Amino acid sequence: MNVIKEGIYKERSSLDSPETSEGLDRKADIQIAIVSTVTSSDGSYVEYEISHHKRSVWRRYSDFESLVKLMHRRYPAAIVPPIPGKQSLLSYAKHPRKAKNDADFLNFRSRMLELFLRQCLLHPLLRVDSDFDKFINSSISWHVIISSMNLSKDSGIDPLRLPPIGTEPDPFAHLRSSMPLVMSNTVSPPSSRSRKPAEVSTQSVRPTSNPSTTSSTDGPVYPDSEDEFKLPPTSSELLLTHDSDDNTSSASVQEPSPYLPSAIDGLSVTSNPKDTTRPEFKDLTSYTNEVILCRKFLHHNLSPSIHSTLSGISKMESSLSKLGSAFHSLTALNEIHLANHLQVIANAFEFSGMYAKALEQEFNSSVYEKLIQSMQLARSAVRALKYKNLKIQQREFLQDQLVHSNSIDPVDSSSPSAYPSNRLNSIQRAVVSQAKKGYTIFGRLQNAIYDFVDGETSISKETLQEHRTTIENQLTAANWDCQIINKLIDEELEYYKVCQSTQLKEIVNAVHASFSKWAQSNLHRWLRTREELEELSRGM
Amino acid sequence: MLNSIDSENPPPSSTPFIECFVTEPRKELQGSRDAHVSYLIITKTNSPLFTRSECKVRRRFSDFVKLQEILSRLNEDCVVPPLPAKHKLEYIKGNRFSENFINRRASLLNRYITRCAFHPVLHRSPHFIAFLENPNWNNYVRYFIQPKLNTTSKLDEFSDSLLNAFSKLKEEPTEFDIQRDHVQQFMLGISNLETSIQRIVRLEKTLETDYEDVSTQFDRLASLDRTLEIPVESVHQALQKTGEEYSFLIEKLTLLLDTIKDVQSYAQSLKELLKRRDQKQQDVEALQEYSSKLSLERDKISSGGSSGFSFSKTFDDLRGVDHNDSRLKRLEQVQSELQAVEQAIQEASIIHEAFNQRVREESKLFDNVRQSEMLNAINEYANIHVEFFTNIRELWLHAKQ
Repeated sequence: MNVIKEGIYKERSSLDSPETSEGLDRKADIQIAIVSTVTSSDGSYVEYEISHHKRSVWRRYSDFESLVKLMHRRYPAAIVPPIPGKQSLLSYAKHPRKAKNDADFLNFRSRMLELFLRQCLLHPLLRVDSDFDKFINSSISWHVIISSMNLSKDSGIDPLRLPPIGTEPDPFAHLRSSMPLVMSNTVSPPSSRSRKPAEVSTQSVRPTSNPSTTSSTDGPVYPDSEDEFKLPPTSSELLLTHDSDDNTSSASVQEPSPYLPSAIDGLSVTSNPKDTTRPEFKDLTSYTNEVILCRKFLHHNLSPSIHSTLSGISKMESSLSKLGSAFHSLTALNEIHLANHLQVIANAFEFSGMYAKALEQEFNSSVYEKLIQSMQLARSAVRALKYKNLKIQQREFLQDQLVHSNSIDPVDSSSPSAYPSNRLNSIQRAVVSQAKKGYTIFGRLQNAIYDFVDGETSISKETLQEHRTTIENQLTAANWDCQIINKLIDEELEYYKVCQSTQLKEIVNAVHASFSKWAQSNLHRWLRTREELEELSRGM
Repeated sequence: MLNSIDSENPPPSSTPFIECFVTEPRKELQGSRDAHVSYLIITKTNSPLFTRSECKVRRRFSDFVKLQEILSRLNEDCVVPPLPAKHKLEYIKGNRFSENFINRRASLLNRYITRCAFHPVLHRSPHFIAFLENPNWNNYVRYFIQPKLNTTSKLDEFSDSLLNAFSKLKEEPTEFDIQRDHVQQFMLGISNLETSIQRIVRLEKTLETDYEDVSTQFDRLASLDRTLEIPVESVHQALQKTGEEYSFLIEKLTLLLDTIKDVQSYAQSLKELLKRRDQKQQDVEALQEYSSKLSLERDKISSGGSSGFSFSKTFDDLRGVDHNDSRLKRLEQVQSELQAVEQAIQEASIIHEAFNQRVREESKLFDNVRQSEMLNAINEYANIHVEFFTNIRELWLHAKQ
């Protein structure tokens, strides 16, 4: 899989140079901005004006939220750009009335929402989505638009059962609700084995569309289950190992499913000799790990250190102005000519304090915020990539199921009956935890077979045939999904890379700009101070 | 500092001058219990009080401390310049042999010696001269000075006999009161300034480590995304150098902080001098009160006694003492005492007036010194910051290319 296509890179290089955030929209058709905000008449919410192609649309924050949710549902495998988080409870507690209208906060939100829109416009799928188009162009209230779509109310749908990407009508929609979620067990690290598997599945698979960050805190600490990604061994290998210890193992639920890999620490991919037949999978996994590493680094290393620098700078600002006033207070005690000197230097320090504050603000808005956004984008990308992986694994699981069911001889009771029933047991064990919930038809089917087998050592032909057909259908659906994934995966990864690179470049440039400006203004001021002091001394 | 004081009273070429500086700190007797640092003092002078026109001696810090003690005990009417603090913290931490500490101390001692040399009274003190040229300071201290420290002046005798612990000065504010308030306010302002500067230096220390940390992180960023390598590299370098610049700034600011602390302790010494002067004044006033009381008594006796003596009169009658005689005798006593007290008052007043004059001189000197020090400090500040920001701007401009 060739992720870096030079052609696209050459095209994108025109976006590299500028220092401002306008860089992302040098392409003529991407001109979008949030130009102003207005508070509603009763002051309870704020609307943001989106200006695109000389048209203006007004949307509020909850509209953005619902847009993101919609995109997640429709394209569960897509990397949807993040939007700024809701106000944390803490800041509400601090300023109960001011929170929504605080100018700084509104500016921050406007900036981040603008960034979101820009990134959406670059996304290969989102920018051609009709609803997104409505969002930014049509002045119909978003509420109306949403209610006109007949979305199922079931918000608990796990995305694995949704089609991956694509606007074509889904021919296999009826099968989706019964597709197994078996892969959820494979994603959790051994340490969280005791966690309820259903819980784990929702944590690792549900889209994280509402990162609750504000400009003053870092992103939330996500459970580590997200960060470990192991490639499960192929089924045939597992089956071999499983056979050997099958007789000794008990049938407890807590026993790891055959697809759970052994404990491996670190983020390395478990290399598998059978992997050579699935090159695109391997690349995907390694890239996922790369993105995870990047996110971790940004979250745990770069942003905390920048945050502490920022707080240092803001403390400097207050100390500098205090120093200025200390010098000022000395003027009352000295004779006139020294008083002037003291005045001059007091002013210099106060200006220094002001410049430090300006530096902090600039740094915050152009570096720190963007960094947080990059982090969130990375997190979104991780989620999407994991989804893709899970889809592929889902397909494999179904393939294995088919293989197993083909190998079961239904009416043969004289052949070692332990063998087929054990085979079924192994499959059941894999889904028994979901089946316990009983909400999947497949689970119920399995349970039925289990019960059936319990009583009899053979399984009837009809049931087996039924079982087989279901699996076949589901497999076709999964194949179709994976096809779509493969088609678009290059473009998406490309998009992600471009977004991150441009953003990080902007960040680097912004660091340059803010520091140069700070040094320049301070230098100017101190040179002037020195001149004034010399003049005063000469006059003495 | 010395130069600016010189410019205010430029000495004509024939006036005696003393120039000395403290340099070349050297570690002595390392490894033994008595390990210490000795400083070389070079003196150039044309004053006849010295035996040679140029002398070099080595002294350690405790020698300076002794000199300080001697000078302050024997010259009560002077503001002896303050000696740098003993820095006990560094003793505990074991840092007292570090380069940084020794250099700081050397410059502070230099300042101390030059101040003493410039002081109108102190530089003529034989002990100061001995300090500068006598190779054997310890012996000198033991045999020549120690006994002298134990004598007291005549004025002290009288003061000791009078209980003046509870008496207060006259209510009206004298010029010295004004001066004292002045100094007090100055000290407040200066200590305020000092704390602010200290806080800033501390913050800059944390900023320095922060910048270094951020630069390392940016360096690691490059390893994640190859395309970012070149721009990130320059940011990484620039941030690192910014951190370094901050460390230079901190060094210079610490030195400046030292001078500010110095001015502070100078002000403190002046305050103590003023207090001593006030005490002397109290003594003189107490004497005057005593004398007025005595003269009251004398008047009473010469006017023929009063009811106050009635009891003793009857007593005397019983004893058969001649009234007139005893009265005359008592009168004589009081008279002679009064005379003695008057004389003492006269002497005391002269001394006290001289003391006052000295205090006025010291105050003026202090004002001059304070002004020039503050001026220097302000100019230093401006220079330091100009340099700092020039460098920072340079390196960020350079990084951009």
